[in-house]
Amino acid sequence: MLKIENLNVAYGDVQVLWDVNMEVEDGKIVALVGSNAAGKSTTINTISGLMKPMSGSIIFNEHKLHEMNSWDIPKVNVIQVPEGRKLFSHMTVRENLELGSMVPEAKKKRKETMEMVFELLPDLKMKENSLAGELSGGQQQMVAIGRGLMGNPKLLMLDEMSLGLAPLLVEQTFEIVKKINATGTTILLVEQNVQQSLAIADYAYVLENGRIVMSGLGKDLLADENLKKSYLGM
Amino acid sequence: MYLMQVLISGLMLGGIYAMVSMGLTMIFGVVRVINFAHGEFLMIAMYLVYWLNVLLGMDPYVSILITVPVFFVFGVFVQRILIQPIQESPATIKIFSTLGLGLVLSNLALMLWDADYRSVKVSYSTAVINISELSISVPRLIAFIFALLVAVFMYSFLTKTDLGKQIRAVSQNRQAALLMGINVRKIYMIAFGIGSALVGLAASLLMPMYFVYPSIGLLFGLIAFVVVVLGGLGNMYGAFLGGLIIGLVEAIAGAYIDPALKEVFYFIIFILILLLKPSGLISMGRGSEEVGL
Repeated sequence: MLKIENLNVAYGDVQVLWDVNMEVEDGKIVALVGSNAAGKSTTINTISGLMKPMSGSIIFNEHKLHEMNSWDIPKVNVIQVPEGRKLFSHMTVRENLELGSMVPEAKKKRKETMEMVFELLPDLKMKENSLAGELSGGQQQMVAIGRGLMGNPKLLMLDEMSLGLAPLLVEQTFEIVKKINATGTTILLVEQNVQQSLAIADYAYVLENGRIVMSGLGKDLLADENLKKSYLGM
Repeated sequence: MYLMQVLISGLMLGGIYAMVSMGLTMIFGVVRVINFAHGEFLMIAMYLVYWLNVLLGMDPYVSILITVPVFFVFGVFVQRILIQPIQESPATIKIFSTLGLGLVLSNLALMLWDADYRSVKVSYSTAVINISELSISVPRLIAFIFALLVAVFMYSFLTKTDLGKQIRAVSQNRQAALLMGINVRKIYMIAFGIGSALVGLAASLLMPMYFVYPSIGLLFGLIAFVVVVLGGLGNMYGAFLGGLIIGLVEAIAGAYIDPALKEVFYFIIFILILLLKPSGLISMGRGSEEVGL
């Protein structure tokens, strides 16, 4: 289980997260939604160790993530699929997937995991020798997700995975997330696409100006007219 | 036949340039630091070869076993102690620190060993192989063969091994590499180490046919910069090709125009590349020339 307590994060002098408290239970899909610049990406970048908090703690199964180097965090099976995919674009799809499994434990299982990824995302198998940068946006997102899965995540964090994709692809992507979750992987979904996220999330948090302003079951928040109007502009 | 002779000796010389430049481009492409002390690294390595020969009677080619590991470690230390603390600083600060390191090294050499030209005396330094009317200098041929081997080795290392792939990953997207659990700081040290080790190797191959003096680093540093820009910043294959081209240019200019004007031709090429194809001969694609020092 991931437990975030009283998290405060700043960029230089500008504080962007204020006393954030969150819990992500094992095996669930949890969504973190909110408008642009609400602090969603900052939250998961802090979980991934790319940013260090001013105060507060992030604990994942006894591991104090807030004290760890970012490159050690995948070793405890917490993996982020970053916003904008951030693929190694001059490398092949296969190489990108291999790079997802560089930590020792994942490396041992590289072959089996890759077969599993190809089964889940059959398009990648056909493109395995293409350069990642030459793929379409949707295919690139699949590579990014596949690369994340190569690290054998217990907790997979997906940052804005649907951004810039055509509606049909968005739907497919959410289906894939459900499939990944069905294999026992915990999901933390960071999304601007509130409707779809809440629809598949077990639990959700709403972030506004760096503060958690609301939380509840996905379906309850989805039904909350107040929430839609005041925070999400729907 | 004369032209053939010129081309062959140019190509052989280009092998050495390629090796030095591949080191520079490796450091630049991965660590994103321009190592202005690169030529001075070569100078110090050449002195190391010289002293190993004078004091211990070691053959320059045998000294490869010393120069390569010593300069790998030296590069790792420079990265760890000098560059890492300023990794996130603006480009100017990094430029001054490597430039400063270069000045320290060349003046240290001047203080310790005077400005004298020194060379090792080996029986084969003027040996040639004659093939019909062509004569090929043995040390140049050996250097060229090593350059080819290094290029093949580096290619396989970077494309076939996990460590090589990690190095390429870091050069393409550091943040993503961090998210993959790659220790980027360690990769920086290794890349700097490899870049310096290539210089150590080049020094061992150069000494049988060259002399060393404290400011020789300037000459080779300059050539390496022209080669790296010609080949495309951070591109290993470009650096190899660029090294051979500059070797050829130097030989042709020397034979048909005037050896004293060779720098003029380097700079003409340098300026033409910057004007016509700033991303270099082998471009990594759109946006790769914007390197975010």
